[in-house]
Amino acid sequence: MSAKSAEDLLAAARALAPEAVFSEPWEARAFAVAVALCEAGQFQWAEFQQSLIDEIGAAEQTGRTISGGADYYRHWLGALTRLLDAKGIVGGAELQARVADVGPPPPSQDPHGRHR
Amino acid sequence: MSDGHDHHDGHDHHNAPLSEPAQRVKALEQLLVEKGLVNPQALDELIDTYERSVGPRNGARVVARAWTDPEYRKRLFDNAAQAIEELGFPPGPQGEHMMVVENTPRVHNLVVCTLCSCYPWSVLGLPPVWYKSTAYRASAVNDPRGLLKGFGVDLGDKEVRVWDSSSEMRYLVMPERPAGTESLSEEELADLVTRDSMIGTGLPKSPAQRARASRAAK
Repeated sequence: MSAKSAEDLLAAARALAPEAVFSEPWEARAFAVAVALCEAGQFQWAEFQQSLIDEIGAAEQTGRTISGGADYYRHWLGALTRLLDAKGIVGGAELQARVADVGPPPPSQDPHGRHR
Repeated sequence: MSDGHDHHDGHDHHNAPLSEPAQRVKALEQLLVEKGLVNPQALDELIDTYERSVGPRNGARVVARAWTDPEYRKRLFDNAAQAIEELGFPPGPQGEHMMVVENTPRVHNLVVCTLCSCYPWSVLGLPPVWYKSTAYRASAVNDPRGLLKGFGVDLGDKEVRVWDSSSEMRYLVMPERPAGTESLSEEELADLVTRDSMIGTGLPKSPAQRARASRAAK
């Protein structure tokens, strides 16, 4: 990273959300789930930290930069789900199936749903 | 969408958006609730705590106390976590191992976490966006003086010490007490202590700046 672009990126990161802790509700949820599970003894904080370091390191190694906003919490969530999978607390396939269930607003909500 | 039955790519569309983080979090929370591992209400409370109660105001009180009470200051340098808890701020998951690093006329301290985003939550709350950015984490190590200039901090010929946080140790910068504050109370002093001054990317406000800020707020 050149000095100039680092400066620009930092200025951009500082402008993004100077004070807000979370920019979207899901970020707060992802944050709280990790803290709650640690407090409940499901994992040590250092284990989560390592998972986060791996996640961020893998992204940055490919030359991607993190702005520190929503993209950061995406990595946070990735780190959390990987750790839970590794520990057999929530398996990757199990989560994937549930995500499909949660899904976007189902098409049947539209008035033409009877065509299905 | 007004006409939902004409998805051009068939019906599997609603099975696909695994990249949508909000859905993943929702699914994850559902599963954990069903397994009895988290309680949605406890999550609400946790979020509320970190959004409202835990913030740099805590750290400012620690610094102001150390500025005014030499005994407390000594305890803070001996065992930071314990001295911080004394003021009613228990260590969160990130706060167990803490070290306070002191700015002096010759040394300025700067805190970063190069690998992820370790930060002393119990005294500063959650980190600002820029603290987690690749740009900050890289510049703090590669060019701390340049970085500080970008934050409006000109150090002259002071030495800069950069502290890289980890899961083993987190750092709180104790800024220098501004000149002309001899007559201020502990509480008034705490008003001078900004979040950035405790990360090292800023300096405390001067009494004049504080007065201007409080006039502007009226």
